[in-house]
Amino acid sequence: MILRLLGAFIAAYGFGYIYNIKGKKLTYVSIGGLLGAFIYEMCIVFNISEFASLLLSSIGISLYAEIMARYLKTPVTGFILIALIILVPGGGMYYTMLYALSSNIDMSILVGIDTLAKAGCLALGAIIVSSVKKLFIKKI
Amino acid sequence: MNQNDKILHLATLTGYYVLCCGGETYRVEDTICRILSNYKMENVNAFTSPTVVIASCMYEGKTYTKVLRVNDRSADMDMMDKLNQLSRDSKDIDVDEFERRLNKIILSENKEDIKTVLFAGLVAFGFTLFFKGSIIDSMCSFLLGSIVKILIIFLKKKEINNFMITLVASFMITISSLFLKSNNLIASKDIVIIGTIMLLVPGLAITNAIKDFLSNDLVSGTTRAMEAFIIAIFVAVGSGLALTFWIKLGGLI
Repeated sequence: MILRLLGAFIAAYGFGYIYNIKGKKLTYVSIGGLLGAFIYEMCIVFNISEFASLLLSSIGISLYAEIMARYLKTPVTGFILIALIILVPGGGMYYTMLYALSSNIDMSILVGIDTLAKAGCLALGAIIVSSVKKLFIKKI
Repeated sequence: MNQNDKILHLATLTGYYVLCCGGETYRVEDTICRILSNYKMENVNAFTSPTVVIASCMYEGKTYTKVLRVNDRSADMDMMDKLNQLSRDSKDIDVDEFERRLNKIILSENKEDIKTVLFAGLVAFGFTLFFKGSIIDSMCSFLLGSIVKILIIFLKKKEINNFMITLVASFMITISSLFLKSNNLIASKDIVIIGTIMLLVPGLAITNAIKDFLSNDLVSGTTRAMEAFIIAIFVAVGSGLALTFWIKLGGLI
């Protein structure tokens, strides 16, 4: 599990550099990626369903992003972008394609809908946070 | 140039560059409106979709309008940060100072060099670890990721369509990891492929689509969601093609 978290951190750091985030912001952005992966892993350890874990970690990421963006006085886009990419179900996409190729259509549809639902969960987390935020904070 | 024309030109240009480096629609519109209001324009309005920036304003009974077409969109958070700061500072500085700072930001362009290639490799390395790959698998992903990034940069210089670049890159990733697997260099081809393919995931399009829908920009939201979906399809088609070729040529998966 430590290795997985390390992987998430490295990937977030690399993405941050590719998207041209500079200086200490890059470190904070990568910590955001690490945080997302950590919440997800923890939820899985505590036997919470995969969809709920994705939702929770997406909420955690978005909260972190909103707080950090205000603290560092920088647009929130970078934070959410990098942290969400880590959790995007790339594996599901690949297996959907693989099953379709081996003419196992039933499995392909199953995995495909599963993947879509996971992506939906990620989006829902971001939506919840940015809507709730508007109740409390003035838009900057 | 007339002073009012110049103000409108600078404001739309700032919006244009915010959109180019990956800003959300509401951010672009806010930026333009903020700058125009700070320079005492009235009836300020802006409309933005992923491919166009339109702004109009009034000054002493005369209407000024400007349209800019956007073709190139990439992600550059540093530039967006600076432009955002500039638009907030615009209430304290005059137009000439604004122009000077805007030009400085635009000219300091992001270079894609050897470091970008290495960091792309690092992304693939990290993701392979994240998907429970072994260290050796991750090393192979690192190599694959770097090579694919070089390929992407090369194709971008030739001005190939973005979707086509995704397809070729995904094809390359899959065929090379199949090759590595057939030589028993890696433990699991699936994990290496997934880990490296994450480089091509349309993260910016997805997040921007969500945020656009949230701020009621339905046109941009739909367009970006569609863009993300089509990129995902192209990624799948690319690796699907590679797998089909591999099987037809007698390889095992």
